[in-house]
Formats: sequence, structure tokens, C-alpha cells
Amino acid sequence: MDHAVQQAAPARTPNPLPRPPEELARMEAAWRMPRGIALITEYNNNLIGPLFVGTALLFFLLAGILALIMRAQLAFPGMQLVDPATYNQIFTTHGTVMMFLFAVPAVEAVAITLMPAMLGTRELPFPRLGAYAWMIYTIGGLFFYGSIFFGAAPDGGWFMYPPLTSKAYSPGINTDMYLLGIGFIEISAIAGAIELIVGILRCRAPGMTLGRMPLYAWGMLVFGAMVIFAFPAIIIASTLLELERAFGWPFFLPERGGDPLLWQHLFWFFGHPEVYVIFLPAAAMMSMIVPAMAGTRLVAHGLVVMALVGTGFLSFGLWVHHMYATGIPPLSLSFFAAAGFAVSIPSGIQVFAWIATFGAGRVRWEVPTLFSLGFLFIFVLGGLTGVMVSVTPFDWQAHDTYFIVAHLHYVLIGGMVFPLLAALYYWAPAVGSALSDRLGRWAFWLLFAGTNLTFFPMHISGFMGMPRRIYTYPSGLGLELWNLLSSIGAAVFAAGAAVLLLDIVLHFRPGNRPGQKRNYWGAGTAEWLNNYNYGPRSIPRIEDRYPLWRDPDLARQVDEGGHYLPMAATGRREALVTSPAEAKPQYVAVLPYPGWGNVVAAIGTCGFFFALTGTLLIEAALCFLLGLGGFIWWLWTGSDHGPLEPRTVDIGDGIRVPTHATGAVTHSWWAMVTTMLVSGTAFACLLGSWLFLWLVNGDAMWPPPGQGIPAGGFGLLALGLYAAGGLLGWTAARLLGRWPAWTVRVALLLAAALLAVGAASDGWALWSAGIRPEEHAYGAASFAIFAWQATHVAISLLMLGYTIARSLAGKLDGERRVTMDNTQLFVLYTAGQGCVGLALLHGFPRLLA
Amino acid sequence: MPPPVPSGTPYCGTPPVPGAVAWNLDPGLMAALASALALAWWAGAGRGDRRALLAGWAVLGAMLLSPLCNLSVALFSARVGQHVVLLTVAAPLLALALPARRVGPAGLAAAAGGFALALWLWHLPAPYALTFRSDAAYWGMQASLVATAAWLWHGLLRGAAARPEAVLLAGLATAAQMGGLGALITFAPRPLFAPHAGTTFAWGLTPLEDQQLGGLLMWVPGGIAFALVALPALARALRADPLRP
Repeated sequence: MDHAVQQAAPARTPNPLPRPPEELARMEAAWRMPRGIALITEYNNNLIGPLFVGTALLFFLLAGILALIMRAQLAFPGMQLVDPATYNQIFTTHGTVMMFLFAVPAVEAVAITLMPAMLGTRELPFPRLGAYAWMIYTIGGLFFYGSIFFGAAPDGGWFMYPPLTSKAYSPGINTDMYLLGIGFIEISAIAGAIELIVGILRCRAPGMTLGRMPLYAWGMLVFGAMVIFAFPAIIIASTLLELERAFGWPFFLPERGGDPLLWQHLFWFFGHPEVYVIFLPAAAMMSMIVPAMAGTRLVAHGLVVMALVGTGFLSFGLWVHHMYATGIPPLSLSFFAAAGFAVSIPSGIQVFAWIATFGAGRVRWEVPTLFSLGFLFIFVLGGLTGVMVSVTPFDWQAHDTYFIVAHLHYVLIGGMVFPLLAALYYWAPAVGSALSDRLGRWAFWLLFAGTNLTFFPMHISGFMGMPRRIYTYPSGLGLELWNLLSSIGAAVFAAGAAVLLLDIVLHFRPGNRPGQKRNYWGAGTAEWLNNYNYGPRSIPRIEDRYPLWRDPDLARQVDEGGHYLPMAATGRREALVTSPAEAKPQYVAVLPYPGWGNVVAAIGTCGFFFALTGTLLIEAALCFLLGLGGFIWWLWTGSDHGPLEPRTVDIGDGIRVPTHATGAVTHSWWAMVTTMLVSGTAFACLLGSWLFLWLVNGDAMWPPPGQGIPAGGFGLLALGLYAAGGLLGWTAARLLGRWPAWTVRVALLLAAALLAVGAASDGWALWSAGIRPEEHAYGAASFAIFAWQATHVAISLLMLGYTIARSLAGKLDGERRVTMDNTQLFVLYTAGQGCVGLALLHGFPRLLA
Repeated sequence: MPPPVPSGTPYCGTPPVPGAVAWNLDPGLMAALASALALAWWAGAGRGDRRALLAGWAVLGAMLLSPLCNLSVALFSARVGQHVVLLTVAAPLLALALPARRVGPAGLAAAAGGFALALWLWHLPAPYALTFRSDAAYWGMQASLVATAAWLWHGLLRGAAARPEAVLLAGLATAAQMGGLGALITFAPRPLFAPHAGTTFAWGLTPLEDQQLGGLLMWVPGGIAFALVALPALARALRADPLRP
């Protein structure tokens, strides 16, 4: 084990002490925040992180207010506080906001706040993307929430099942508000996930191998991977339903070959991992807090990592859990009941590891400890009812009753809210000032009692048959007492939330203050080093899972600049990029300065989607152009600055690394590959939908009478053009720096032309065979695949044009080539995706025949 | 290569009824297995793991010679069961018997893609039915599935120390695509595989139930077995200092 100290900590620091005084001033100057209104362009995680957390808590309160309205309405039978239609909007908005605007963003927000310090880095690799993600989330989320005041909020339940949400039964704007309004906020979650994945894998302090990486970083790594594989499914589902509602493409309408169950599969393929997307980061927080509060290392560190990764694996196979009552094959129920039990193994490993750690150390009864134990109690109860509902016959009884409401709230409040609050009290002193112990204890007991008093009686009202999502109930069924208890509990919970809010308002101030006790709880991990605008004074050399426990002098050494990269080598904002497994220094990445581009892009993005919701097409087009302009401005001025002086820098310990890198080692390459994984997953969902609809329809209706198999000649032509376009994009990247610039431009231009003609041929192959998207699911699914591909071709054209423009502006050469490398990757991806789509649309029906 | 069989009879024989499932006594296959072991033993001298080779070979032989071969003519689910064992037990063992070699992300991606392609191709109705008519197609299926799976497992098990993130990704993507195929087969509302049209009733299953059982075997036990083999590969990378023995 690494517990034993193998040798005395080396006395020599990577860089000699004391440091020259001008070094710090230069770094401070580079990281100084803009003043006045321009402060909103600042991306520093020390600013965006707390704002992000604050926004998430705001949505928690806003959605909580809706819950209070519901509990007031249900306190007594026959209440008329809100009418049924409004009630439908309230419960849908409550669930949607809690899941999409609170739970997922909150865990991402905490990570953006803490992760750089915990990894010992100055900043995550794409800070402006993080700021953009926060902005679209804030603007979009508030706008979405506002729809409830105009009766325009969604009202079909947070999982929005068709046919209830089809145009015929939900003709209003409400459903579109969900599909477009929430759909695009998922972009924010995905952007944050890409930022975190690349940050965790490539920005760890030297020496922080994967084995020494804090568990919270592990949790967020699994979180990121799950987001990029799960969230595309909900984006595709929303897009398909919106296409059906807006243009009549029948994906979910059985009379034209669609199937409403397709929605449920796509939704729960996202929705089941979503539960773990919320729970795993919270569990990982516990694995940080418990050792600090017990004053000892986490027991079974390796097993807990395996449990996190294993849960991630398993969660993707279990979505059918949520569909027991949909008439799926009876045989499958027993399999999924058994597999559901299997998930409790990794959860059990973690719970026992925490209990054992508490047992191994000396427990301090601080507020974070209380919230941790509260979490254990509530979550274990939720887990037990979870095991109950995974027993199929029981689920058929409890389905759609208040028992399920009780279960899911125990799981989510226990599994996510309590850990988050533990984290809030635990890490507040790492980010700013500590919260009050007295108010914290009040908040804990009120919230703990409120949770149990609200939700425990719901088990009983559920047993008695009270269905969920009803706006009132008659008296005389024995439901009065349990509902009244629940409503009183909700008020107690609200009081706890108010105390919490009061504590934050009274006591929390972000930033370091002089004389503050830094390592507040005596914890062992790197986020308790002194942290400034520029992160730690120097980047620590990590030799242990708990570096501060191993070497008590580390904090002083780091803070005096004795460790790696204690300077702004190029005079700009910098981060140290290291290798993914062993965290060996690779190069110094120069970060952009703050700018308005990402702000404009965020405003344009939000405007576009909401104008689209209101079918204001001209406004939508204008916002689209605004957003696009913002993106291009952001990229043009903020990325691919080329090599800077000095070309290499000695970061300490005699390690000399370049200040500029190209190709597969760069963080930008990694982000592009991750983005391609997102696109690929979405594309796989489209292919899966096509195959699912084929299964539902049968060979005789696939294609249906009147529509044919896509024209093979045009398909082959498109295949050739895509392949040639991809090859030319690849060639252009090879030519750059070796051949004259004009040959590169010609190659790029040709690649664009080939892809464009390829897409035209791809589409014409469908159209000329009589395939129409409105008539039958066959056409709808085929054209959905084509539309996705055409969108990628359009983005490729944009990127190729941008690269040509960079070349013409003299901003592209053999060394300054990040733009070219990214364009090349995306063009290759687009070509490959096109070929796979053609293989399915053309090859598969011919293979059947 | 197996000897020619009467045309129209699948390699594994006629669909059996309960109590009459035959062993595969094909001398050609036995000879091929024996000589393959001898060849691998000789070629792998001092390089791969020979215990893994023996174990993998034994599982491979058991899957191909046991009555499971014959049963898979009657039941789709038996075929899937055979494949789950071949691909999640035999293939990783055989992969461990291969000499260690550095595997990069591109190699892993190619292996994962190759395995996915083989898996999906042989579960499409037409190629699947072909394996019942043509012995060459049957052996093409078994060989391509085991070979691509061993190729992938070699990357997953051997590449983990150097590039754990790539291994994690390839493993997750493979588990997802295998689960996706299993899900499609499970939820298909009609029988897809013509060779089993009349062969399942003797076993108390309708063709659709048999097909659902097959899809579920691939999806749930297949996925769990996959995770159980893939995760320990990461354990080494998770040590505090992976370079220290």
C-alpha cells in the first residue's frame, strides 16, 4: 500500500527558494480580472465556479417553491389553490428544473469550482467554454422557468411520454418549451463534461498518477464519460419529437409506422445513467469528506474507484428498469430484476468503505459529518425501496403511485442533496469563508427531519393507492393524515432551506482573506493549498494520495513558489499539461485572455432556441447569426495563437517543456476527439432508432409501399465523395508546413466541394427513390440520419472555410496549426459518419431482400 | 476443415429435441484444435502466458465440441450462450496467451470497431441464416468473432497500464454496442431468424421467446461478464505508483 512512507520527503524543492520578487507580480498581472462591466467576460474558475454553484442553488430554491405550492394544494382533500392545468405545469417544471437545472449543473458547478485546485492546476483547459456553459445555463434556465408565469411551461411530466406529448394531444407551446428549452441546456452539460474530462486527464499536477488521483476526480471522470454517452440520447429524442411536432415526421405515431416506445427507450437510455450521473459525483464527494472528518485515509481506495467505474458500466444496461409496466417481454423482467440487484454491489462497497473509514479514524462531529451521516441514512432507505421496486410484481403494484414519489425523493435527496450540502459546508473554507457551525446544525436537523416527515408518509399513501401527478384527492379514502404530514414536512424542509440560505448570505464570501486558517479541517488533498486568482503559487509535486498528510511542509513550499512553474513563463495565463496516466509534464498550455466572444455566443445561442420555441423564425435566424459570429470571434481571437517566446521553459526539477505543442498531444486534440464521441453517440442513437423502427414495422413495411430502397448509384457516388473529401482534409493537414500555403487552401477547398456534393448525392439518393419523411417512419428515420449527416457536412464546410481564412490571414503554418488539426479531425469524422450512414440506409435493406 | 455434410444440414447437425442432443464428434475439428494448440504452444514459447493458453483452448474446445453446438441449431439462445462464453471467457484467456505488445488508442479503436462489425454482421437475419446453409459461413462466423474479440481483449488487458483512459473508453463503447444489439433483439416484436422457425417448440419456447432469451443473454450476463473481465484490467493502472512492481 502507499500508506507507508517509503522515504523521508525530499528536502529539496523543485525550484530554489526564495523566488525573485518580480516573478509574482508578472503572474498577478497576467491573471488580473477585467474591471467594471467587462468582469462578465472573466472565465476564472474562482469566479465562475461560485457563480455556477449559486445559480444551481437558485434553481433548487425556485423548484422547491413549486414543490411547496404542490404540498399546499395537497395538504387537504379538495383544495382549489391551483387548477389542474396549472398543477400539471407545476409538477412538470418542478421535476424538470430539479433534474436538468439543479442536479446535473450543481455537480458540474462544484467540480468547476474545486477541480483545478484539487488537481493542483491553475485552471481547467477550456475555461471560456466553461464560462459559456454557465451563461447559456443561467439565461436559458431562467427563461425556461419564467414560462410557468405565462402558462407556457411543459405539462407532460418530466419524461414527456408521447403520445400525450404528440401534437394531437399537446397542441400548445408547452411541450416545445421542454424539447427546445431543456434540449439546448444539455449542450451546457456536455460542454462542462468535455472540459472536465480533458482537465482531469491532462491537467493534473506532476506526479499525480491515476492511482494517486483524488476520488472526487475519479467520480467526475466517470460522470463526464457517462454524460458524453448518455446525454446525446435525450438530445436525439427531443429532436425527433420536435421534428414530429413541427414537420409531421412520424417517429412516435403508430398509424404511420412510428412507435411511442422508441421515446421511452431513448429517454431512459439517458434517464437511467442520469441517476448515476447525479449520484456518482455525490458519492465521490463523500469519499473526500469522510477521510477528512475521520482523520484517516479512505479504506479500500482501489475498490471504491472500481465501484465508481463499475456502476458507470452497469448503468447503461439497466434502462428497462423504468419500463416494467410497458408490456415489454415478461422474460426480460426477471433478467433486469436480477441485474438491478447487481447494481447494489458497487453502491454497497462504497457505503461499507465510508463506514469502515469512520470506524478506523476518530469521528469529528462537525456539520459536514452530520450531512454525511444524514446522506447514509436517507440514501440507504431509498436504496432499499429501490430494491423493492426492482421486484417486478411489486413494481406493477407500486407503479405510478406515491410510493415511487417517496422512493425517488429518498434516492435523490439522500444521494445528491445531502452530499451536496455536506460538500458546501466542507469546502466553503477552501473557496472563501467558512459557514456557521450553529446555523449549519439547525439547517441539518430541519432538513433531515423535513425530508423524512415529507417523504416517509408518501410510502404509505402510495400503498393505499394514491396515484402520483393528481392535483387533488377526495376525502374518506384514508389519505388525509399522510398528506397532511407530508405537507407539514415540506414546511419543515423549507425552514431548513431558509436557514441554509441565511447562513450562506451572512457568512459566505468568496476568495482568500488574510489570516484565515487555510486547511480548515486538516484535510490531506491539494485543494487545501493556498489558492489565488492564478491558482496555487506553484504547481505541487504530488507523491501521495494525501500529499498534505505525507508532507506537512508542502503547503509552505508551494506557497513560496518552490514547486513547478512558479512563474508566468510567456507572460500570459498558463496551465501545465501532463500525460494522462502518469502525469508527466508535457507542455505549458497558454490560455486565452478573457473576451466578449463567448458572451455574445451564449446570448445568440439562447436567443436562437427560444425564438425557435416561439416559432419566431426571423428572430431565430438573427440570433443564429449573432451566436455564430460570437463563436467565430471567440475562436479567431482566443485560440491558436501560435508559438510564443520563450519556446521552452524549465518548470523545476530540471524538467524543460515546450510552451507550444501540436498534434495528438494537445488538449485541443483531446477535446475534439471527445466531441466526436458525443456526435458519434448521437449518431448511433439515430441508427438504433432506424433499426428499432424496422423491427417494429417488419420487412414488408420497410420500405413501405410507394417508397423504395435508396438509389444505389447515388449512394455509391456519395460514398466515394465522402471518402475523397475526408482523404483531402487529411492530405491538407499533411501538406501544411511542407508545401506552399496555396496548395493547402486548394486541398481544403476541394475537400469542402467534395463533401457538399457528397451530401447532395446522399440526399438525392433518398428523394429520387420516392422516400418522403412525412409519410412513414421509414422515411422519417432515413431522413433523420441524412439530416444529421448534412448538419455535419455544413459544420465541416464552416470549419474548412474558417481554416482557409486563417491561412489567408497568415495565421496558419506548420507550427501554428491547431485550427488545421481540429478541422482535419472533424472532416475525417464527418466522412466516416457519412459512410456508416450510407452503409445502413443502402446496404441493410438490400441485405434483407 | 470439417468434412462435407449432406447439403441442407447445418454444420452442427439437425435440430435436436430434448434428450437427443448430440456431441460434436467431428474428427476434422478435433484435429484442427489439437494442431492449433500444438502450434500456439510451440510459437508462444517463452512469450505468452501458457496457463491462459491452455484454459482458453479448453473453453474454446468445450464450446465447439459440446452438445451446445447441436443445441444451437434448435435454439437461438443456445447460440448466444455459446458466443457469450466464447467472447467473454475464451477470447480474453487466448488474448492473455498472446505475446505482450504495446497497444495505442488507434489500435484499440480499430479492434473495438472490428469486433463491433463482426458481432452486428453475424446477427443480421440473412448472414445468420447463411451459417445454417454453409459450413464456410459457420466457420467464418466463429473465427471472425473469436479473432476480433481476442484482438480487442488483447488491447484491453495489455494496454491498460499505458493508456487506461483509452481502455476505459473502448470497454465502455463495446459494452454499449453489445448491449444495444442485445436490446434490439430483445425488443423485436417478431422472430428474425428463419432457421429457428419450427425448431424451438420442442424446447417449450416459441421462436420469439427463444429470441428474447438470446437477446437478454447477450445484453445482461454478457454485459456483466464483460465488466467483470474488463475492470480488473484497470486495477494495475490504479495503483498509487503503477511503475512500482
